[in-house]
Amino acid sequence: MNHSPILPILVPFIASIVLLVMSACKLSWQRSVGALAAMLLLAVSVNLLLLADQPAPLVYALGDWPAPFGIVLVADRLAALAVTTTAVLSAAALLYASAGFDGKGRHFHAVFQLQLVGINGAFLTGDVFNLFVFFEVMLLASYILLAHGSGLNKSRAGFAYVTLNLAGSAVFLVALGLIYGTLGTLNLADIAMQLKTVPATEASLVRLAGALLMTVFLLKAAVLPLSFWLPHAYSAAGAPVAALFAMMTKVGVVAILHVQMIAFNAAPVMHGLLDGWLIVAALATIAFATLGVLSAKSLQSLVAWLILGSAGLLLIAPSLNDEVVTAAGLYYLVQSAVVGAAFFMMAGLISNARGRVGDTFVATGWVSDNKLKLGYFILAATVAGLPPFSGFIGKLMVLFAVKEGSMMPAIWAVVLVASLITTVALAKAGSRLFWEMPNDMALTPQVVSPQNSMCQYAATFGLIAVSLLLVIFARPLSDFTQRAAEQLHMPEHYIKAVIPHHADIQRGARP
Amino acid sequence: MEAILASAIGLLFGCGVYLMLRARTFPVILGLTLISYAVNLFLFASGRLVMNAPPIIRADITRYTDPIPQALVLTAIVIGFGMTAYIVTLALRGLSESGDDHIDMIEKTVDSSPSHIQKHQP
Repeated sequence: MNHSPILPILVPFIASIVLLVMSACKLSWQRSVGALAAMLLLAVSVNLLLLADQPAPLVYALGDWPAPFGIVLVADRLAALAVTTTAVLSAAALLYASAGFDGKGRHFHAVFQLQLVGINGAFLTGDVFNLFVFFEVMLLASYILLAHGSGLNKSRAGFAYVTLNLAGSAVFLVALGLIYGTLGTLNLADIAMQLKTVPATEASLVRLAGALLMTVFLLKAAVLPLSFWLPHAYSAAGAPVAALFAMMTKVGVVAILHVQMIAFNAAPVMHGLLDGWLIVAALATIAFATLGVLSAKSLQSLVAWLILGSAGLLLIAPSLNDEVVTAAGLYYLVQSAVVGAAFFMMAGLISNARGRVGDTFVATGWVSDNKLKLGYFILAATVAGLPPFSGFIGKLMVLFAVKEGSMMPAIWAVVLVASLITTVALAKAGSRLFWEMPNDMALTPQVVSPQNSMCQYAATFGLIAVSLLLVIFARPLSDFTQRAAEQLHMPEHYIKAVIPHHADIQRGARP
Repeated sequence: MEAILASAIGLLFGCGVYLMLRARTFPVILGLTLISYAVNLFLFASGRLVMNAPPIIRADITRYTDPIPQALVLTAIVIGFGMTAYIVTLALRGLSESGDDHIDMIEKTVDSSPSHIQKHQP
């Protein structure tokens, strides 16, 4: 059996344990282990990406117990793409954090690796209970990372974030209990098969379970009525942590895509579960996030609102349930994660460079660092969706993909107006951060700020370079996302790879 | 049996939601704990309720209870325990930083605190 699907989980997991043992060692040693793990993760993720680029997904049965009785990991194209994106982001975030942020609290490196275990596991798992377990691993690590460093706003944002996610976990477990109680399985491929033969008496229970499951994923993806937590949590986190969090909303979207496309689409009981209302919620999220962008008082909170807006745009893919839209959405997923993470790091750099006022929109006078201005310009143009950057290509692909549908006027109007407002807000924010002179010169802070280190510049501009590569290699990537969307919309391959002989499985009568 | 279990789950959920909506950290944590108990009972019931039956398949036994929900509940209990421990420490940190256990964690104005005034007495 090919062991590559489990490596993106094992590498950070072993690194995390080693780092926990090393917690008494010097920070430089921990940094080296973390860097080594990040490099290894990058290598195994790219390897997985190359291997998974085939019609049938790679299936890894843990302990060689066959599905649906054992636990399986399934690396389809979507999972491999998401894991690779996470690996790139995490390498950059780790490099950024190694400039000194990691020393602001204990166990940063161990918890960081644990967070990667959770994220990668959530992408790769083939059954919904392990999805829950990996979500919890991811969340517990994110709680600790969010509170890393000190400050009352971190405790406050952390408490609300933890409470909300614990409530979400409770709903998740209720959904899992309903699914197991009605279908007798938790394996995604098996759920897809069992859903076809649900007795009419249990149809409404199954549908309720599906709706609860989607609610939890939408909470993680931060769609409108469940999105108020995101700006607070993401703007309170430290810059490298927030950069990694940029991938966390994507975990919810990927989970929705997996469950919906593979298990729910073909089942008559789940017919139209997300139709009609999710697109409205997604567009409302974009509108809400745009208002947030206008109202933000600091750069980091502005970026948090931008992340929320990109989550709304991503949710167009599952709500329209169309192959072309999914393909476009996946390209947008990759680019928005990279750009969002880079923007959080840029906010950290700018905050350091401006000294006492940080990244709040208070005029302090001229910022002399031209690298920051250039980076901010590229990132702002990308996020706003101006050509020739990757945000433009991503938004264009989504807009063209929805061209045929009945929702086209609404989607085009919301996305384009939101882009325009975002452009204006980012232009205003940039001129205030870099150029505007304070009215009262006495307010100008003369505090010598800590200089940004080369690590931080390298991490941020490395990610910006990746976002430019996404422009240059837009064609191969969009071809890949096209193939990934095809695979998602043809769940037969997935189901056959996980459970080759479904009819032969002996099932005992349920008591 | 079903009626007792169902009402227990409902009662625990109801109390949990009520407590979670309180404005102090301690009731919120208690509410979360109650909800996690309710969820564990619910998960347990998803394998159907069978009395006095082993959770393991053996040749001489025809009547058994489903072992999977028990394993799931065990996992959920462990995770819930870890989460509760973490949120308690987080609430304590908020308490020590703001001097108040309100969930908004707004910093208390130091002048009104009697202990603060005493500290600065000569």
